[in-house]
Amino acid sequence: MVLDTPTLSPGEAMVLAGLPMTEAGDAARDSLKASGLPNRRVEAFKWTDLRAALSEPVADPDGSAGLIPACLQEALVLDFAPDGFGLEGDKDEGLIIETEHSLPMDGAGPVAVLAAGRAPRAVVLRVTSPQTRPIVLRRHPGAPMRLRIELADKAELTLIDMGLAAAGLATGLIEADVGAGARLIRYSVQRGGAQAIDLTHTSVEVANGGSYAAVSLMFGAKLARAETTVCLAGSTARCDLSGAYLLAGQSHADMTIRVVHRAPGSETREVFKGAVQDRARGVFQGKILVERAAQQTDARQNHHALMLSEGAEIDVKPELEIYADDVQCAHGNTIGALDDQALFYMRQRGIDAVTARALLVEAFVTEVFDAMTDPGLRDWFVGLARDWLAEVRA
Amino acid sequence: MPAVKETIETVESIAEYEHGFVTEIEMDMAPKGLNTDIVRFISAKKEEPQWMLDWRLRAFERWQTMQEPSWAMVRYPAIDFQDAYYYAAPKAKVELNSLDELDPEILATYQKLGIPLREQEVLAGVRGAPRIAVDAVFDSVSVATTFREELAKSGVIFCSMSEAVREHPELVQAYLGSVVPLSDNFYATLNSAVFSDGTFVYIPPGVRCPMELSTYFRINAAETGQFERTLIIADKGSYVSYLEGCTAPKRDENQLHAAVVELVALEDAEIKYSTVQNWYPGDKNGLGGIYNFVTKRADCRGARSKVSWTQVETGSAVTWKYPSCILRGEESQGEFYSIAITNGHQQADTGTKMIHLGANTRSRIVSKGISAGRSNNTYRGQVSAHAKAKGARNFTQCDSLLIGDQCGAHTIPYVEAKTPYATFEHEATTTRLSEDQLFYCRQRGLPTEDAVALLVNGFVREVLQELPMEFAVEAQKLVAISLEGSVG
Amino acid sequence: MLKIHNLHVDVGGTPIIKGLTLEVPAGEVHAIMGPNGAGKSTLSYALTGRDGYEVTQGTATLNGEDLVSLAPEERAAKGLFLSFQYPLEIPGVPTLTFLRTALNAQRKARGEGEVSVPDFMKLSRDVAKKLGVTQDMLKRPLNVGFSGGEKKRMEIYQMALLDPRFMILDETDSGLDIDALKVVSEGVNALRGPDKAMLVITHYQRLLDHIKPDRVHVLAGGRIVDSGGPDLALALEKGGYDRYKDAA
Repeated sequence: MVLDTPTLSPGEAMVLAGLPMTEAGDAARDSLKASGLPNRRVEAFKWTDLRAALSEPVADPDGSAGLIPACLQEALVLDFAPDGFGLEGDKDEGLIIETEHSLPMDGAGPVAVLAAGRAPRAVVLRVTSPQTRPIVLRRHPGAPMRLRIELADKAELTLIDMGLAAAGLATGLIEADVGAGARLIRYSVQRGGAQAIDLTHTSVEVANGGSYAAVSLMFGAKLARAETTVCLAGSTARCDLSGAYLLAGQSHADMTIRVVHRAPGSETREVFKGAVQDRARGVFQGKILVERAAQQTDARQNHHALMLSEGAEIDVKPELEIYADDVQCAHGNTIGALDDQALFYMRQRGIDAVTARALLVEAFVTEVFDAMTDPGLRDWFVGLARDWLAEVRA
Repeated sequence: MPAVKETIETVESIAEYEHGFVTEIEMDMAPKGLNTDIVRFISAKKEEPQWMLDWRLRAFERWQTMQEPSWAMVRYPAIDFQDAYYYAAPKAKVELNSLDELDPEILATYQKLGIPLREQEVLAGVRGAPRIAVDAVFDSVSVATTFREELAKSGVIFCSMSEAVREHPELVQAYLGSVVPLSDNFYATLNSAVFSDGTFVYIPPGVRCPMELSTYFRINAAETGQFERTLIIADKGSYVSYLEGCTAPKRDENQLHAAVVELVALEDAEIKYSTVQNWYPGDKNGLGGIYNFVTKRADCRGARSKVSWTQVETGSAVTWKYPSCILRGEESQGEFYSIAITNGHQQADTGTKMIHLGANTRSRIVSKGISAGRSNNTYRGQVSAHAKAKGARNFTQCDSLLIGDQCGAHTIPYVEAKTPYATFEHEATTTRLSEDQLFYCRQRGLPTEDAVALLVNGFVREVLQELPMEFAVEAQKLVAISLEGSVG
Repeated sequence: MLKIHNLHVDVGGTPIIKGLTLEVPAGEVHAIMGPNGAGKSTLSYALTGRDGYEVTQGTATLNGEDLVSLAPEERAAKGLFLSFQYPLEIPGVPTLTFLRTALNAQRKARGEGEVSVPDFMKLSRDVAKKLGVTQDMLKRPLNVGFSGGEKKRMEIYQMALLDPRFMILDETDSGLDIDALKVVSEGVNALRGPDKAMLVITHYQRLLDHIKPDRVHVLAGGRIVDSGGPDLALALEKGGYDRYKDAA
């Protein structure tokens, strides 16, 4: 069967023209020319139509990377800007930072291919011992980020990635190898404007006894999609993922997560919450795949979301694909409006409806940040959520 | 771990498929292959009016532009649609005046399957036992329909689809394709072009159907596809409970079964549709078996209407089936209760769609999947609430049980919320048969296979309870047979 | 009745029971006491044939018949009953269905005829009355939603109904308040008889105030380290198990 080569939209053509002359750039070019960007007829992009979002040329990058909160003043900052990469702050022992060619990223889907293709070079972090100083990935509007992380056995690293684009196409690709007994912790804040498109793909492989823990907060953009693939390749590895999305106006946020259990005795915990209002759209796709060898897997996923107004939409696809029998796997999902009784209870005690609503939404959503051990970071996340609630009720 | 191993071995020695015999009978067949001539041939055989033929031809034209779906988690070799017979009917007199004129071989077949075709046999049964009217479909045609006169007294129409096209064209034209449109999907469109027979039911306003209605589908001929079409219309305020059963002989080749079932429930009407699907699943090496690619959909068109699907899926080599409800009427309700058991090399991708369009609509999904042997069992379901579906509620519970470490259990729900006034709840679990529970049962004296049957029946009880009594007993036995070599 | 000679049991490759010898004659009730981790539950699982409890050496016979080579259900049919420390919940399986299936399976294994439904219902009601088991409990799925006390009472109810010859009570008193303990003990005592015997496994003496043993054995380090009359239990209550530390 001969596939018709698609006619590229002006937006797609612009993305194509901006790809650098690297091997990964060539791969992205070939993929774009052959099939364009994925649209809603592609199962994994059913509710997040990239082709439609990029039908017109993307507006020029605008906005900032956002302010680094006080609790991260000591952090090492990696700056990703459209024109290159920079470094601010002190670097401790046991951390090596280099750059390398951007090589093609196979088998990880169109977002990864595009993000690899747009990055002129990849930044490599080699971590040989536990790092107490966190690393901030400051992502400027329109910047292509590509990062490769190697955590040696028993090494530890905390990453914070943040951006605040008003406009522009920003792409990110993080590939991490977590060694035996090593720990990678990641906190991410995504905020984008009505003209911004944010696409990030994270791929983590965890060895024996290692762990990956991530907490994310998304406010969406014209289109924002954060893909995470975690492969628990070693036994007794652990994966803790939690996140929240708060969406208003026309924003769109998509969390697409895939956790693969490849070896025995590993554990996954996922907790996600969302609140969506106006004409915004939240998408949560979460798959847990347990391969035949991964006996004694214990994997649980929960997603709970609130619909705050008419016109909003939430689309959810939790998925279990299980090939091992001695497992405990479960997922739960609820979507609905705020609890009327709780609202009434608070109003009966004298709290006005708007405040009561904000308090309830805040309590509902910020529960997922309880897992954050650093109180400064936790307060930062809760504060961002609270600010959003104050803003959208005005 | 001897007990677990023993369980797995027990389960792996798939029970002999007891309905696998072949009836030797002279058949009237269309030539092999699929083209407009075959479509015309089928229509002519059934002495159909022009509008029906035109409809078929439109479907066929459309089908030629369509592609077989590939999104389901099932794998099978490409089907050569030209290498099958699309019409096979037992040679018989054109008009049967009584069952006595039916080929004795066919009568014997149904007797062997335990399906009562003689009304007096039903009546001669235990006093007080519920009576069931049966439409028996043998390959491409309906061979007998019982209790029609008695049903006619209350205005219920219960006949073969072929007859309905001739005798009740106004009803057929008004409703056929109104739930599953001609262009709906690859298999449904194929069915629209070549459907042979099936059951037609009409329940008039306010009538509670005086007995259970049922259709028993039997594929007998080799290399033949079965494409039945069922249409059930429950007019305002009526009620009907309908049962469907299916079996086929053991054959080494794969046979296609692509049915379409359309249900229409008008205001305050209720339809309860139960299926025990026991098509030949193929042998223990995965050779042969039925490809069961079925489109079943209900339109809860009227306010407060209700449709309840209950299915026990134990057979077929490959199952692709999503009995769905379009909840259009205000306060209408949809239910889906499912037990899907796969063993050997079986593959099932089955579930439901609950499309909430009307206000205060409610749906409930309870799915119990059991995978054993080298099989794969997928629940795939969609629940959506559209902007006008204020007050819509869905509750979904999907549980999967794994027996042995060579099978797969998958859960793929899609949830789409487009109104803040709807509530969705979904829970899913996947576990294996508990060794602790097995040991407990054995300590109390139950042999392993009885213990497995008992535990599995406990696992699926919530769904079994939704079946009409006599079907539930049958299904409970089938659950044990499907999973065990020595039980049953 | 029950004869155990030089029994060795491994769990996951680790020896837990290391040469245990014990004889419980018909008509007697013996208690096995011992500190946590002594192998008390291992003994009950090994005797009833649970997977993963591997007898590596020694013999266990009931009325002269070897137990070790039999499947759990075959041992049950020979009249061996274990009252579990933690009775299982079995969702979806009504208690009465479970019991009738078990009773008939055992009878079938012994070459006896099935008990008819009316006879079984009468039997189940008669036994239920004696043990304060309500009809509601019997209709519910086995042990689902039962309190700890109800579960233990249900174990004794099953014991009464299945009429075994040799009963092992594994920590039957755990999770019971004093009133429940009395009901359960009375139920157990009613099942004593000249052709029956019991092994009561317990950590504490208090159960033995209600179920009076003929002999008391101390299990420590996988062996019987001391045996005596009922007085031994009282002595243990006062002195604890410390003095057997080295005996193992």
